[in-house]
Amino acid sequence: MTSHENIEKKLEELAQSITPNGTLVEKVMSRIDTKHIAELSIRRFITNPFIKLSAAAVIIITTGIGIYYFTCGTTPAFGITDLPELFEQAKVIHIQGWNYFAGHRMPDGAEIPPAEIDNWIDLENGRSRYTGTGLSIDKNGVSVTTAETISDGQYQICLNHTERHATFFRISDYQRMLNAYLISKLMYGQIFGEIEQLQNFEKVGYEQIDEVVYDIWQRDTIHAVTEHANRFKFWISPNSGKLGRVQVWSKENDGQWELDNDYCDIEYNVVIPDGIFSMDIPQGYTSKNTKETAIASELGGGGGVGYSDDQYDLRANTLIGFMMGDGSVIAAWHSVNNKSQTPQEEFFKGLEFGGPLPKLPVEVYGLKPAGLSSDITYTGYHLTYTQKAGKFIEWSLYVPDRTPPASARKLGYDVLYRFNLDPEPKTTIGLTVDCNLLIESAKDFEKWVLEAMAELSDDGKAPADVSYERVLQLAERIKSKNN
Amino acid sequence: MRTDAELVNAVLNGEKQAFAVLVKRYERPVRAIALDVLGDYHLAADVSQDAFVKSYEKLAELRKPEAFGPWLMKITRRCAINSARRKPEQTRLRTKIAAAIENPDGSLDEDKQRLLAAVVKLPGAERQVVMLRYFADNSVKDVAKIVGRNIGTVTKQLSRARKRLRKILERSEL
Repeated sequence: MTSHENIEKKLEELAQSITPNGTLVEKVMSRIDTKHIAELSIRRFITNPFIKLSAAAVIIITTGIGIYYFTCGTTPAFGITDLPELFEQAKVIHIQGWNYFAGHRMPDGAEIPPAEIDNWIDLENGRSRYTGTGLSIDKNGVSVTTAETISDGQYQICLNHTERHATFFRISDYQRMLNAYLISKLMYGQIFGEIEQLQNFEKVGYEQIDEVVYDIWQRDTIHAVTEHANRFKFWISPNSGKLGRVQVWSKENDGQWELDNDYCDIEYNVVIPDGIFSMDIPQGYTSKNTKETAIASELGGGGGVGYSDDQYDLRANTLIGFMMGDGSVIAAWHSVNNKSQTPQEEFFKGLEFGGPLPKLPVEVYGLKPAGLSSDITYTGYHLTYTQKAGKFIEWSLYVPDRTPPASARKLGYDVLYRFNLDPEPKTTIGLTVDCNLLIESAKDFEKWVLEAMAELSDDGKAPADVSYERVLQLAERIKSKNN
Repeated sequence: MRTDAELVNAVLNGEKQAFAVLVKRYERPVRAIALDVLGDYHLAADVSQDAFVKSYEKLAELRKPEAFGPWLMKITRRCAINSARRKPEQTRLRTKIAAAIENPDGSLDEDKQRLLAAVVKLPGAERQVVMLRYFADNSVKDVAKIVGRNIGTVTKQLSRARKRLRKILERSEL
C-alpha cells in the first residue's frame, strides 16, 4: 500500500464503510430545535474579542490607568523564552501524542508501531494521568507495554493495558509532598524539563496547524556520556504564546534524524472530561489488590542501567537528587550484582563521610549537566547510606570542578558510571538523575533530604551524622582543594 | 456552495437550517473520528449526534467561523473520549480496538481501522481536507471553497497528507 492510487482507493473504501446515517440530520435538528438562537447571539457578543477589549478599555479608562494603550499598541510576539511563564499560569494541561521508538527495530528490521500517549495534569488538585510505554527487546522479539498511571493525590492505580491488570499504590506523606511540589513547578512530565532549555534554540520556520500559525523553534543536544544527539522542536504561536506541538528527534547511527516523540495536541486549562482520574478498574482487567491493600509506593522513579551475561547481572538505579545552593548535588543510588554471592554490606564497610564512593557493581562516580555543551564534571564523594527492605542505598555528594550554569538544575544531570568488571563492558545506555529540588537552607535540608533518607530507611530515621552544615563544609573543602 | 464560515455566520444570525448543511457536510468525518476512538459503529453514531448538538450550543464561542471543521473534530474527539471513559466495558481507546469483521456488527476490519487511525493522526488542516475530500465526497474545488483556501493549497495539503499516510501505514504494516 505505497502508491498514490492505492492510498486514494483505500480512503474511498474506508469512506464507504462509514455509511451516513439517514436520520442524523433530523435527529440533530430536532435536538437543537429548543435552543433559542438569541442566546447564541448574546454569547457571541460577549465572547467577541473586540467587544471584550472595548469593555476592558472602558473599565481601564474610568480607573485612569493607561493599560488600554499598552494592550492595543503593542504587537504580541511570543517566543520560546515566554514558555515557562505561560506554563506557570496553566492549571490543567493535556498532552496527546505518539512515541515512535526511534532507533529500535523489530528483529526483522521493520519499524515498531507507535504507541499513543495521552496525559493529563490537574495542578490545582494534584491529580495526574500518565500513559507510559515500555519496550523490551530480547531474542524472542520486541514487545511494547502500554500502561497508565492515574493518581488522585493519595493513591495511584497503574493499569497495564498490555497484560490487562491493575495495581493500587499508596503514596507516602513525603511522596505526596514531593509530587505536589514537582507538579506545582511544572517539572513533572515529558516536556516540561525540556522547555526550560531555552538557550540556543533558534527559529527554523513556521507552520499553520488548525488555522493557527506557529513559529518552529529547534535545538540539538548531545548526551554527555553516550554522545547521542537529540533534536527538540517546539511549535509556538507568536500571537498567543500557545505551545501547539513538541517533537523529539533522535539521530541514528546512519546520521539520519528519526522522530522519537511527537506531542501533537497540547491544551491548557481545558475542561477535564468526566472519569479522566477515575480509579475504577476497567472491566476485563484483573486487579492485584485494592485501595485497602494498596502497596506502598517506592520513592525514586529514577532510571536504571544494567549489564547481564552468563556470569554477571549488574544493575544500578538513581533514586532521587537534590541541588545544593552552592551548586553541588546530592544523589541517592543503588546498585547490585544479582548473580553475586557477596553481601551488600561488604561494599559499605569502612566508608567515611567525604571519602571515596563504595565500589558497587555499577559505580556512579560522577555527573555532568544534561543537555549542555559543557565539560564541567561533578566528582562523587560518599556521604552515608541507608537500608530499606534489604536494599542498600548510597547517598553521595557530587562537587563540580567549576561553577555550573544556573540552568544545570533545570536540566538534570547525565550520570557518569562504570561497571566494576575487568574488562569493563561497553554500553551506550544513558542514565540521568533529576534534581528538581533546590536546597538553600537547613530547613530545606531537613524537609527534603533528611526526610528522603528517612523514607528510604527501615527505621524511618535519617542517619544522625549528616547535616546541612557538614555537607556544605565538605563541598567547600573539596572546591578549595580543586582550586 | 456556501463556505463553512458563511454557514456558521448564517446560523448565528438565526438561519437554523444552515446548521443542517454543516451536519450533512461533516457527518462522515465526525462519524469517522468517533469510530476511531470508540471502535464501535453504534456508539460512534450516538457520539456524532452529541458532538453536533454540542457544537451548536458552543457555536458562539467559535472565534473564527472558518475554523469550524477542525473545531468540530476536536469536540467530537472529546465527546468520544468521554463516552469511552463512561463505558470502559464496551470500548477501549484506539490502541485497544479489537480486530473485527467488516460492518455487520458495526466495526471496521483491521486494515480500515489502521487507515482510519492514520487519518485521525494527520495534522488538523490535512485531516480536514482528507475527510472532506474522501469521506464527504467533495471535489477538490468544493473542499477549497468549504475551507476557504485556494485550490493549490488544498491540493498540496492532500498530497502531503497522502504521503504522510503512506509513511504512517508503512510503519504500522508489520
